[in-house]
Amino acid sequence: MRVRIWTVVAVLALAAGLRAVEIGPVLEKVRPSVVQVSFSEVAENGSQAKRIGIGTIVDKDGLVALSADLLPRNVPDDRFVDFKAKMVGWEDAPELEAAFVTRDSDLTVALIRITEKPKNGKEFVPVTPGNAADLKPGDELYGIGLLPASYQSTVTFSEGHAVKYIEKPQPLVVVTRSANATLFGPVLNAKGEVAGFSVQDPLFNMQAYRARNAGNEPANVILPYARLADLLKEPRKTRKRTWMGVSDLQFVSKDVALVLGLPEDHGGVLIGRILAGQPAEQAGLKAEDVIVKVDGEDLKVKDDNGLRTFQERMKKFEVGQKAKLIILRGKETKDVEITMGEKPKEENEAQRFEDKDLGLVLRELTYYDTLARDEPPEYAGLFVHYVKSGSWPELGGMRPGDILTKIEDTDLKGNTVETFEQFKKIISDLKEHKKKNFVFYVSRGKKGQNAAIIKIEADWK
Amino acid sequence: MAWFRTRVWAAWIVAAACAGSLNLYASNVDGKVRKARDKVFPALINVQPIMELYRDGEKVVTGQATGSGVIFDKEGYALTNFHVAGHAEKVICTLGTKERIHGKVVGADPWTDLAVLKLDLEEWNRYHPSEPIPFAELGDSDKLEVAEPVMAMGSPRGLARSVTMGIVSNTERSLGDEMTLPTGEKTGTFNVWIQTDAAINPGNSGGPLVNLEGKVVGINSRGVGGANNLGFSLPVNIAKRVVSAILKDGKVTRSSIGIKLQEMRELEDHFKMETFKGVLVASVEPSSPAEEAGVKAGDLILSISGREVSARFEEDLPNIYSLIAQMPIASKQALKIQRGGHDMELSVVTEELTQVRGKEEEVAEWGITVRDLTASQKRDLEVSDGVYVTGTKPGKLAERGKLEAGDVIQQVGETPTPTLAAFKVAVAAALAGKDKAKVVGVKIIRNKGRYTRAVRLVEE
Repeated sequence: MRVRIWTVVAVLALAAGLRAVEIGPVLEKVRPSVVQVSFSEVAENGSQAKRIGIGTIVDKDGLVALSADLLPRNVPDDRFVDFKAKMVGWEDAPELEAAFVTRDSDLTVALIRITEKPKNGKEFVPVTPGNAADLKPGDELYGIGLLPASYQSTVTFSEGHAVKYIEKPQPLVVVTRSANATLFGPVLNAKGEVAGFSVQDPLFNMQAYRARNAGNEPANVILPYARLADLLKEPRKTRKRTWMGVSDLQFVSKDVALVLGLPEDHGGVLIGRILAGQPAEQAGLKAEDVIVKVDGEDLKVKDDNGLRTFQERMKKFEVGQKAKLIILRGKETKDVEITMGEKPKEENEAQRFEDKDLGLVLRELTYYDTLARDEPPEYAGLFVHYVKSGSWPELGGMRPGDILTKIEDTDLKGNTVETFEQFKKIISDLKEHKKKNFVFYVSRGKKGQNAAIIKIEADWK
Repeated sequence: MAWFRTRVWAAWIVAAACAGSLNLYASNVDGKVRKARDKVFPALINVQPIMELYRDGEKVVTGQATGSGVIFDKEGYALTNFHVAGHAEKVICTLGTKERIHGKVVGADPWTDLAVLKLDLEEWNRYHPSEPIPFAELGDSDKLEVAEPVMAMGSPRGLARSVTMGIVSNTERSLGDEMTLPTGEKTGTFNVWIQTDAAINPGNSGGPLVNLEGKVVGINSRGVGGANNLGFSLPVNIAKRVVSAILKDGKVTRSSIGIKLQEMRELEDHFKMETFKGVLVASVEPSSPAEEAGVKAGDLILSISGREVSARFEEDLPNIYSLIAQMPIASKQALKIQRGGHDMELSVVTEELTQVRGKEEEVAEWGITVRDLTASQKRDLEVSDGVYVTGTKPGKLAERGKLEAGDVIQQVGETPTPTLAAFKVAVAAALAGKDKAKVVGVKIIRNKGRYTRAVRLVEE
């Protein structure tokens, strides 16, 4: 009888021993670093939408990393207000004031800083970074999540395993689905260090794979902590993004190589389109050129993954840095030196200007606006971002998305902040003379095919 | 079955059932209604088009949908909508006598949504020896008045030989000039519409709108989804012009100068006009005749070839577009315009107005359907020439070579393919030489990007 009891105890002990890590202490280690971030997005009409997500404290001064996907991409930074960080892992869960720092759409991370000092001299506890590259298949991982306030803002975890660390086209860790965290929640290794953050499939391949195979691929992706290192060291307001100004890239597959009269395994990047006024055009590249080497490195681009690796490679150049390309043009091999440029401003970075009398918000025309409308980059006009309901322009038929090109008999010049000055001058003249009727010319649709002349009936105060 | 057959048109003409207002008319205008009915009803037909559609890279022949039509001539010519029979070569018509006879499509005009049919009179005579085919008289739509009683005849939801009744709600309804037919053609630029509350349902398309004189005053063409008793009929006076052009040339040709017009409304202050005259240029199409002539957005056109034009309201625009359309193609015309307070005269050379879609064919060997590019499409896509891919069949050569709908194919192997005919020749040549070259290169433009695709002719 006694013997049996001992056996049972021995078996239990053995089971406990099989577990390599005690989960409790690992979680306790990270709990003070997990926060619930909330903020509001202010729309042009003044309405506010509240957003909530998980954040991770990454330095002792209260820098918090969260998902950039919580901040809609087309909305400018200054439209996000009232940032707060609720210290859900602390005993009394205080809610502290915070401020926006930056966001990076490539890394899908946004950073905020907690600006309010905690009471009683309490200090922020940053997480300890782990090395994702050291992960081996089968290593334990713990994804950290956050349940909403209705569940007392509970920090959750789920236990899973590393599947593989991949280096190309960009460093990532594939993990089992069970190691899932809330979007951009930290994922811990067995030592309680943050190996990375849970992100949506950045290669956009897994979803398509799932759809094709009509099932769930039991895998997820985490962004290695190390990829944030540069940004965290020096959180910049704006990061210059490099580009060469080409689009419609195609890899040279085996069959395409045959068609081009090249050896089967030649590879290369076939350029489909050279964008007007951008570095590739200035370097003399042409559509249908095949890029073979970058700074002496033969990339052998033969599939989608190769194409992405090429794109990641090009992003690593600094703005203004020169890249030496070897290209094929027809049968001819050429050396081309390209000075990498800065990627043009996106919609959220374009300056805006509000005219309260007219109830209009105008913004600079971006390069992409002109591209989408088949207009040259120097196309003159201002983008109509917002038309207030009931305003004079709205009653005249102006719509968001119009491009204002002309007021009365004056053409707008340029499409940047300087054009705001011209606009302001014209409007202030009209206002000074209390002009009751005037017209706006707007361009609408591709190549302005649906242009309109809009009559403004003003009632100046 | 009737529901199923007509469901294709559901999005185009959807009108709710008309409440029983017939009693009112029955007492007042009973005799007139019966007489008018007898003049048109025997000429009413149900039209089942044998359509050739191109789907997923192959040609599909289908006779699933039906519409309506009216015979207007003793030779057996009939009118229906383009969106009923425009893509058919043959139709099967069910007559008032319930007999089915065959017909062919003589010509069609998407801009006015009309198609002209010719019924097989031999078939008619087999059933009715020495008896002429009944036909209706086309009336004068300019004389129509608001609130005048009218009947709509046709096959709502496939229920053939149905008559509904109502009044003319409006004689010059403008529905804008940016409409497209279910198959993608632009339509409606050159006409206003007769609006009626006579119940029009899917399947009424192409049927006649009839006045109490028993004359056809309109061709019922459109409805409004979710609305009650809002039907739109093409004025028969416009249809008469289309019919005479189609009977003469098999098609309607129109001129264009590439401008979009805007009504003047209350903009006279801005243009310092004392009387309302002229029409505004809202935009000028790039590299169009108007652009070459120097016309600019914001110009006020006062006259075209000496004829004064004026559009104060939206409803006035179709007439001006029609005036331009009726000019001979490639003819020099004088435009009198006002710009910045000064009058000036510009000279513009008209060009042929083309639709956004050209001739379409299936090239079965590759599992691909392609279309010729029209001039306006070339301008839109910014390509000089090529053939436009409308679909690829999964598993076939083209699809495996990563060609997609929307691509413009410019070259197959070393052969340029500016037209459908050239493309077919190039495909055949590539297949004939497949023992030598197992893969052929295809140069395409996809949304302004140049791609080189490899179509594998022989599997490894």
